[in-house]
Amino acid sequence: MPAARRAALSWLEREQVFKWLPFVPVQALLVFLLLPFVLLVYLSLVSWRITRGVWWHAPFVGAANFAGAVQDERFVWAVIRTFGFAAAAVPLELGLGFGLALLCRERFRGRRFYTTLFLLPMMIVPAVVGYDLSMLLIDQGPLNQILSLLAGRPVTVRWISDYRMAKAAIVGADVWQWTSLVFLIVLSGFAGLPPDPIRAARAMGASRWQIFRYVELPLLKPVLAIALVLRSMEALKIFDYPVLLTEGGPGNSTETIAVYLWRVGWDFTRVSDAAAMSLILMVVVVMYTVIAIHILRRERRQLAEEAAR
Amino acid sequence: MKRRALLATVLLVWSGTAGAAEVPGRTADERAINGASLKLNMLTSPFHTKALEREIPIFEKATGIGLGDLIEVGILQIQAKAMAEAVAKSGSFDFWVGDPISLPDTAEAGLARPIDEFAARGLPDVDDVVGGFAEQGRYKGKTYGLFADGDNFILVLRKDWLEKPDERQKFHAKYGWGPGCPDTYEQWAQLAEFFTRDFDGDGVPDFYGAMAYRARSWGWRWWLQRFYAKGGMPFDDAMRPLVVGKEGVEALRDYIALTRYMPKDILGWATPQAYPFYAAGHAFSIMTYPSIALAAEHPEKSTVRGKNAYCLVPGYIVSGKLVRRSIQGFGNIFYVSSYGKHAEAAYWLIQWLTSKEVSARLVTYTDSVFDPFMKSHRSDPRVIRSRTKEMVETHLRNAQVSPPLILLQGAVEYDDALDLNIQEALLGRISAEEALNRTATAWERITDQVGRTAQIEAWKALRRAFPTKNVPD
Amino acid sequence: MKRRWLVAFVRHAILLAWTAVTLIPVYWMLNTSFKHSGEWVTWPPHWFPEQPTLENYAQVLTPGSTIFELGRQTLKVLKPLWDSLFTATASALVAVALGSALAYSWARFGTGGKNYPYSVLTIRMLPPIVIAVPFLVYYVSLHLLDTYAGLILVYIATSLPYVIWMMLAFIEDVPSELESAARVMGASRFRVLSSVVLPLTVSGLVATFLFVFILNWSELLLALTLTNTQVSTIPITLNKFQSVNEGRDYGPQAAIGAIATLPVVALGFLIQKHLVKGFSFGLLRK
Repeated sequence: MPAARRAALSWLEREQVFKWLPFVPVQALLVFLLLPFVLLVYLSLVSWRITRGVWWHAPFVGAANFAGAVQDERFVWAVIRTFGFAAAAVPLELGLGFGLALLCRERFRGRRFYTTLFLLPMMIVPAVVGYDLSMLLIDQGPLNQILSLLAGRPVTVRWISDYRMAKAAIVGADVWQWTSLVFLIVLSGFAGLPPDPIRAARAMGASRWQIFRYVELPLLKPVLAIALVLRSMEALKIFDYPVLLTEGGPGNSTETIAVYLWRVGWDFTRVSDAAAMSLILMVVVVMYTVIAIHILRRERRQLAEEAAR
Repeated sequence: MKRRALLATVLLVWSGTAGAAEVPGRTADERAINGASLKLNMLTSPFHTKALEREIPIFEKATGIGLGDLIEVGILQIQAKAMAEAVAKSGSFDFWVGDPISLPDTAEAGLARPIDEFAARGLPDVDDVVGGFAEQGRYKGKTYGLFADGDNFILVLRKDWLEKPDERQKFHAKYGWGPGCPDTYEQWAQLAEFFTRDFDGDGVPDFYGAMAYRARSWGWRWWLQRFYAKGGMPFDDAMRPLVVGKEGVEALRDYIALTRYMPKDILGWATPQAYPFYAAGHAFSIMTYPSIALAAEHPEKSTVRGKNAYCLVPGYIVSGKLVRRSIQGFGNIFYVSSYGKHAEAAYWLIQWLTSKEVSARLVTYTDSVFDPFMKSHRSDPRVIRSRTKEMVETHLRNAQVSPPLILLQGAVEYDDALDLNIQEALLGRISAEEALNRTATAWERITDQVGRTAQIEAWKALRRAFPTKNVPD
Repeated sequence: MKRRWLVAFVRHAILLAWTAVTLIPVYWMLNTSFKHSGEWVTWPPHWFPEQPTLENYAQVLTPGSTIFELGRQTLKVLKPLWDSLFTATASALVAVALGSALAYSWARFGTGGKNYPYSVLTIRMLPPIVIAVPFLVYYVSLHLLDTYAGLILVYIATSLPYVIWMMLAFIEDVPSELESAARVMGASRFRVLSSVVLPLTVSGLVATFLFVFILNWSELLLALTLTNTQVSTIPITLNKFQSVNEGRDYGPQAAIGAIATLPVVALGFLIQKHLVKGFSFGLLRK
């Protein structure tokens, strides 16, 4: 028995075997996932809705669903709107997270208190945040009360019933919750800064600002890029906040892609249309991410080159 | 006595048919001794759980048919969850509580099971159901569900304010009538205008003249009710939309105009905010679901208990005659799933739940929302105790002129298109005409997508559910 | 000296402001969880419960009514809490194990080609609603609907991209000379993994685990579609607390929110010392 075991182990030890070991289950999982994806593509090419018999009997319609999707104003606007939300929320999260991390990078009294506390929002279930905010954001509710106190005059912002402010509320919810993640990432980045280049710069008489601008910031760029990609990919999926706060309203001001697709697929039972829309969306997101990843890789390469020098 | 008879029928039929195969023992006692029982799974929104948790065990004791697993989802997600089951066909629930809006879709998708064969033997108490309610469980000539919740709107006014002598005098001098329950929407607007008060003079009212729902996913029902009272019909015989007419536009303008007297945030509020706001005494009137009575008459939570006047929903004068319409704003029906293993047992359970006696008990519970829907509820002391006599009387009179929602395949999509455009008009982003034009365009597309011929057939069948009276007796 | 005071003052002013922003919603959740139903939404709002109560916690933590005692619905929150903990932990564990092994293999041997990690990332780009419908059809035929295995499989798949990605950075950080040295000294590949690579990347593993755990812990959309009665997670349970008089049962919801936050906070505290190191993505210590 031990001999057989040893043989098996040494077989596993061979590079050609060893390197593929993790790939087998992962590829298996990906294949497992591929089947529903193929089904998704199939559904996008036929005309099926849940109320119309079984899906394998649905007639083939080619690209008609795709044509319908791009002509569907609500879909196009939901895409634009969602990208808008991401474009508003992610820079805010990056800016705030970066700024707070900057303030917390050095040791000072109370640092531990702040760093621990700032991580709290990302640990709360987004659905809870949604419910919580629906109480806080009432026009005579706690938030406006605080704002009134700060402003010294009654503030009655209609966070959930005004066309523009509702958008701000959704962005605000995302920023409140996810600034904590960016904060953590950037703080970690600061902690990981190599001491040598900074020491060298200081020896050369660089000012604090110069060190920050020309030494630390470039070194931090990859970390910021990761935070950017991570957050924008997630921000494009915003679902919980609009569903729990506004039902996508008022009007369609907070109808995100995820909310609209949920409606088309389940409430309107137009599964084929939803499938076509989601494939279009996927192409858009993949394009976006390919660009982002390209930037990421460039940063990594640059860094590697600098390190080599 | 009737109940006994009913139960006996249930038992007899049950043990004679499905029961013989599945549960050993011919009577309840025997089965109890044998320890055999049948558990049915249910999909419901949490609004009904508590009452059903109390009642179904009683049925179980008698028949051995009880409640197994419970799938609870939010009230606006029932449709999605039911559709998911229509796709999955997993049999994860045997029956469910859902609104009539989802009936056409679930029937077409094969999830809702026709129950005519059972009903022919079981003879449910449908004759006692008020108005066109029973018709709402039917689709294209088949019965799919038993009606359980009369959710037509009611108008509630603050009686204590109406009875203040000086207010009465001033109001009468200004408008030349009442004040009291309004007959027309115009009169309601006058009440709303008169009773909106800004006590501290900061420009923001502290007491609002009117409340109704204007939030996304909810507000369209309040427009549709006005549109029906104007004599409007959503479609003609060829399913061409009729919303873009004088009736639709006027109804929408009035709908928008009244919003002036409502809290600013009303565009974001549904029941969770509206009920406590009214019950805390911040508004003079509210038009909403009849369950408002449970909140307004709540012994501990309400500050306006006993101070409410329950009114018939106002109407419009159409060619010299008053037409009142109190729309069935949500409503709930018990459906049987095609994919459950125990369709017949599920049917007997829902027939029992919607019988005169049991439905009266369901309606009585204040922690669930089943609103009165049977003629016999009017005189049932338990129902009256939970909601006041005046409320039950008025509610059931309203029900006589209760039109259905647009109960066609794709209903949720028709409603959503209407709702979206109405809210855009309410926000002032588009004009009333434009909103209704866009709705009509969207409706045409939906009809074509679903299939016009099929929709015409369904629409013709649905027209039977519309009330014929102008005003209730 | 004066300048230092000024810096400290400004620093604390800003940090305290953000502390307030962070804490107000959290405070409101706790505040609501101790309120009677009449106080959840009031005009003006109550900043403190007038009559503090534990009834919300009692309601969500006590067993349901008698008929469900034999069913799985017995405990209103404990069951979903357990389900969430189980699915989130299991999926995060498997995803971290698989993903980091894969990242290692890619970093050392270039297995799968140079674009492999990036192509895996596309999984994460599909909004979950997209795959919900086909997944449902698929899961029913595989009898995976409404099972732990079904939910965990999806969560593993959606977590993998992030795991591979985060772990790549740490593994590249491990000096390969160290590994070669160990190999020369006769250590097996598995031995190298456990004694050289693992200790050097433990912070990364732990931080990655926390990150994907949080993502899966709070996932709503897929869970709503792929579960019915047997499995029920915290986010979908929140949805169920709606009632007649108040519409939304804010109190119990807040109580669940508070309860559901505890495990994550506890986990965060447990791995606190790894956190900051773990999220640096190792990128900088080249």
